[in-house]
Amino acid sequence: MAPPRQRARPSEPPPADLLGSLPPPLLDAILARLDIRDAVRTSALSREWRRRWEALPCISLSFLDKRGATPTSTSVAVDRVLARYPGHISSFSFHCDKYSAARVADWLVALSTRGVRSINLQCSYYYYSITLHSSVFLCTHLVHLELNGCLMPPLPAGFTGFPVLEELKLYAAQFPENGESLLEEILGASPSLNTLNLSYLYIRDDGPQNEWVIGGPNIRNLTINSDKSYGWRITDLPRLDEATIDLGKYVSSGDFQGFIAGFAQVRKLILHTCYPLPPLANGHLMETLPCTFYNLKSLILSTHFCERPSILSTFCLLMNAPNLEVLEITIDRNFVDEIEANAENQNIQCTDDFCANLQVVKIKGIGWLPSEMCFIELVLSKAIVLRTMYLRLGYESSKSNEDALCELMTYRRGSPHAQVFFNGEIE
Amino acid sequence: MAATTADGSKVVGGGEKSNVDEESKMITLFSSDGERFEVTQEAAAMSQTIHHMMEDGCVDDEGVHLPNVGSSILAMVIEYCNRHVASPDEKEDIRSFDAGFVNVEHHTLFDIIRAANYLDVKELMDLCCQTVADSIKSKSVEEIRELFGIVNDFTPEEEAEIRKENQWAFE
Repeated sequence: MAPPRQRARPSEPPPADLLGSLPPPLLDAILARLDIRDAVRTSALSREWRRRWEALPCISLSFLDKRGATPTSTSVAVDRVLARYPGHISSFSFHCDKYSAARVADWLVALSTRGVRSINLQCSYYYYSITLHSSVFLCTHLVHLELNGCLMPPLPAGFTGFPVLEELKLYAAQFPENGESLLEEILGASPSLNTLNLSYLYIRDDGPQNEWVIGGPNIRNLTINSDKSYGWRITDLPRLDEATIDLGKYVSSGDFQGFIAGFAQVRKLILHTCYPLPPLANGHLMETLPCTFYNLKSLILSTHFCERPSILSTFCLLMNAPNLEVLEITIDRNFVDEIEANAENQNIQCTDDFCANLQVVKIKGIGWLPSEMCFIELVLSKAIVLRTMYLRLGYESSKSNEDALCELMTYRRGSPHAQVFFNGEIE
Repeated sequence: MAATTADGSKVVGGGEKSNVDEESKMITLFSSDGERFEVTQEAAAMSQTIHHMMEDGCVDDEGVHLPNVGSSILAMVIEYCNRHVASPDEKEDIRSFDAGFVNVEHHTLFDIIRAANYLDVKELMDLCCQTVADSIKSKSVEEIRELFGIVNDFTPEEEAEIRKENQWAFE
């Protein structure tokens, strides 16, 4: 690093304690940027500094990086800071385990009175799930709430909602019986919510289930990951812009198309359709859609070309997305037992404007199956404004690369500018 | 980029824009030690303090007097503002300019912080405060004392007690 520039300045020795000479609000502005460990260590600088960190208007309690800390020491740290520091706590990030489980309830009670705006609690739920104290629902200043591996408590008396909550992310959250209505109440009381992530929610005791109902006037980004046979219903998402859906093999009994139609206004859709169908689906996943995805510009699919239902659902989406510009497909054959012999798409009728606006196509995990080749051939011929197609090989292939690429070079390209890259090289 | 005009005042001007151009009206700033600086209104407006004065019509033909900012520091603040209004979108260039800009001695950096606070130039405040914070991060207590000229007036017993009280922070 170059030596500091010498700016014109009359020569005089630097004043003692440069930092301390700053007016308090300016020193606060600097100290507020330190993490809690560095801030507390200033207490050992000199007598004048001993209590300085305690006078900060706001601090952030973040222990997720676990920089050289033992589980017990981080719990002690939180206790000590909460005991000494009287001011606002802007954020609380913590990795809970069995040592800290007993303390988290007290901390949440304390935090609810400190104006906390962000809480991120990560519990090592494989070993121990943490029962969340209902005080978390009294943190009315929350803007971000992320919980991983927690048992959700019922709403406390005095719950007035989360008026400024913008991001809610629940991973592996266990809800009590009738948890669906608890979630609905939380969502109903969070009018500013714009990002919602519900991944692997559970209802305790798996009793009779109602649907999870999702609605929110400002939700722009929705993610649903599930590996249980829960029902999902979209009531009202007028501002939805991006959705990520992975319901595993538990697409609700038959009406996947109705469910997906609830996302018709999105610009970006990430969908996983690579799973075997549940028996109730009667061999159909998504063959027609009751609406057009006019805004859809980017579609990311995790699917395969081995079975007719998956192939049909891919075509169904493409035919209902006339303005699609980017298509990314990751071929996932982990759930495929055997490849249907006639799983080629010869009988699928495409409209003239199929893929008419498609500019970029990426396909990963290719095995050079006939059905995959058919799809590539069709897209190349129909996508008249295509610029690039990226193809990446998967783990198993049914032909040599040379043979496959030779065949690929014979396909007619509807776009004169289209370039095809294979494993990073232009073909 | 600084030129000296006939009457000895420094012109730290607004780049390639000609003075005839209506868009780049100039405004005069006076440092605490009486030096004159000509800046474009656009650059001056990065200071919320000056911006409000311009909006409220408090800036007369003479210019703005800044009794709290010395000439050498004001020159630096103006350099920062000029650079940031000139090409606000060239992120890489601006990043490397900023890195070079804050590569100064601490007492200068603190003077810039005081000036940026008085002039209310938020981006400059953020940049400098972050720079100071970065110089504190992960340093030992002894290193921080040395960096800022803080005298250790604890007795060994007192210091040991403090380190024990918050042992977790000193590990």
